[in-house]
Amino acid sequence: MKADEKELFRNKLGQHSEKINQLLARYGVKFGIYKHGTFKEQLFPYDPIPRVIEKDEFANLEMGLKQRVKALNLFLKDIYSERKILKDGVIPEEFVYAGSGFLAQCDGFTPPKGIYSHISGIDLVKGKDGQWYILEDNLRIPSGASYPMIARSLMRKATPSTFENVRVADNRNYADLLKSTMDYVNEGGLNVILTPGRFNAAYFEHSYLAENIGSHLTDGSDLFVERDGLYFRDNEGNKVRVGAVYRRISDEYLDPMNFNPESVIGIPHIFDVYKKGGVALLNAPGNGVADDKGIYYFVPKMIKYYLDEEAIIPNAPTYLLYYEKDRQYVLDNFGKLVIKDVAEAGGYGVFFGKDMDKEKTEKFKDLIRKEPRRFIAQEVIDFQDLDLYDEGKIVSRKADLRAFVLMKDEPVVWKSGLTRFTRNPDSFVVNSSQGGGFKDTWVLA
Amino acid sequence: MEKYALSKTNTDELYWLGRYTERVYTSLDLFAGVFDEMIDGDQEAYKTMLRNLEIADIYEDKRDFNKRYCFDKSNPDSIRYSLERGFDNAVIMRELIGSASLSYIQEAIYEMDTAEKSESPMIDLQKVQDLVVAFWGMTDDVILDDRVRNLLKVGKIVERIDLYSRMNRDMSRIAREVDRLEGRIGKSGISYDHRRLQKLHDISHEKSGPDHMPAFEDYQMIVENVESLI
Repeated sequence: MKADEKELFRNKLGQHSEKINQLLARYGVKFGIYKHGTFKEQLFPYDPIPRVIEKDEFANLEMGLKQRVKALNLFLKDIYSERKILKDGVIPEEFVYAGSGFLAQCDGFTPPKGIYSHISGIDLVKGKDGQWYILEDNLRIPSGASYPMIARSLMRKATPSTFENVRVADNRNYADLLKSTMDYVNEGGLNVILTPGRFNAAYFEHSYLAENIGSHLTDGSDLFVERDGLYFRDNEGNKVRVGAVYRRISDEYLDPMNFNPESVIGIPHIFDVYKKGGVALLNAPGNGVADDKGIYYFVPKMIKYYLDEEAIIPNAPTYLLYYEKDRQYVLDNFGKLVIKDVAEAGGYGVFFGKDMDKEKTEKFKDLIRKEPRRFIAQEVIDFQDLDLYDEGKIVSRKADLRAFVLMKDEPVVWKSGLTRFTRNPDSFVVNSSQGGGFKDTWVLA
Repeated sequence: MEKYALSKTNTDELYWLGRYTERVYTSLDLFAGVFDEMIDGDQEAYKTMLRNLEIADIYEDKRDFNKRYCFDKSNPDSIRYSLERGFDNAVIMRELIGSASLSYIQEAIYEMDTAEKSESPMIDLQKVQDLVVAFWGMTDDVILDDRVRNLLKVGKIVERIDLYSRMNRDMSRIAREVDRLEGRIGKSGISYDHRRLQKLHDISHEKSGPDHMPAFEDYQMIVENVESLI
């Protein structure tokens, strides 16, 4: 498209912003946050100008994402069995065990079909040089596919001619992909989505996916374990076998008999049934060992080790403060880097060296020296800005992409993704909980 | 088509969703009547309505009643409160009732916000009623599972019988609602007291028609039986 055609196209889409956002509000497309102990639901602002990925570009991303998720699944299988990658010195042993993600309860057990991360949310950014970088792997409970799903269906109603003229891969198949992923590992019985409940931040997504897959949504009060099975109690008192649970509850709270005994939202003994092969859990417990920001550093080495391949999509240039050489580099170049606390998520625990004054910098450096395992550092990538329609004007803001990879016998990359943008022109933090918005992601067909 | 396994929780939530949406709808009707009466008639007409509905009279005057009975989120007797509770039930039933149905309740809440700030709230409150009716229509249209539809309707009808009886409405109207209830309750899967349903039938039909003058006690019996039915 020529520049003036692009401008017209963006404005044409932008004029639908208000109506689409009203419809999203009508359909309850929200997320929740807790502030000062109070729960508040917020609408997730939508910008109708999509991120557009050309067909060939996506094909390359697809190869890279499939490769990465395969390697991560192999890593998880290895870590919870023979631990060859540790024995071969590729990853320091203590680095794995010192993290909170490794669950001893999962040791020695392989989940159904050997799949650990059935639904992976891989965060990427595109640099101004056109290079894509992996920012983060999310293998526990990655959120966000529902937003572009519903936005697409509304945009198609708002501007059908756009979709007649631009061949965009349809993204409304996510529910079918998810259902087939659950069916693939189902041990015989219902598919169920297990939610912590109405006041969870991502509750809209839990309920929207349940509606679209045609599965039960439960907060666990209707589930119980009996012998080697997990059952759903219906309103007539009958028990109906459950074969797969897409659990949106963290490992810690999943089963009070095996994990945190204070959990009141988990299902007692569900983990025991899982280990006996009575039910599939998506994603498998214990994945946190692989999506730790520290372990992220090693993923290109995992790809080499397990697949004998070079990573197609590189990590953002990263320094592991656990290693003395990297630590010294970070201390010497603090002002140029972004430091991340490996235990944090949702855009929290991210510190830009350039934003700290001298006193804060020195305090932080002391913290790094005392707790090197706690942090990684990365070069600040100059993301490509994306256009945003803001009150009748086109502005530019930083944005990332969360791609979704679903795993059956082979990984499948959803031909779309959640593009998140920051509304603050000076910020690189795009997370919804910190005031960001979202766009649809168009993969050209 | 494989029957969807409904849980006891689902049953309760659907039933109460039916009750709350009916409560909003009929309460708006009752309120509209009293509102008009108080414009140039009995300034305390609202007190009779409160007494009939057994609602605490916590209001300073008719202005306070008009405002808080409609819009006060913290007042468990307010229309707004009932709508929010209905929404609380609906939002966890999305996979059973569908996003389209749920969206009408969500829109009703937004319209309530608009009505509260409006200079003519009665005009804007009409839209809330319209959206509740749209919700009922949509659920009738999109929900394929008979039990789910019937649970919503059973809740709706039970609430209507309760409110109509408290307001001493025409007994033949109440008898008609009991007939509708009898047609649905057996298909909903909800546990109920058959004896009490029979009593509702007997009282409402015996006391219907132009030759009968139902007594206060007759209405009380209906309220007592409908409240203990489920």
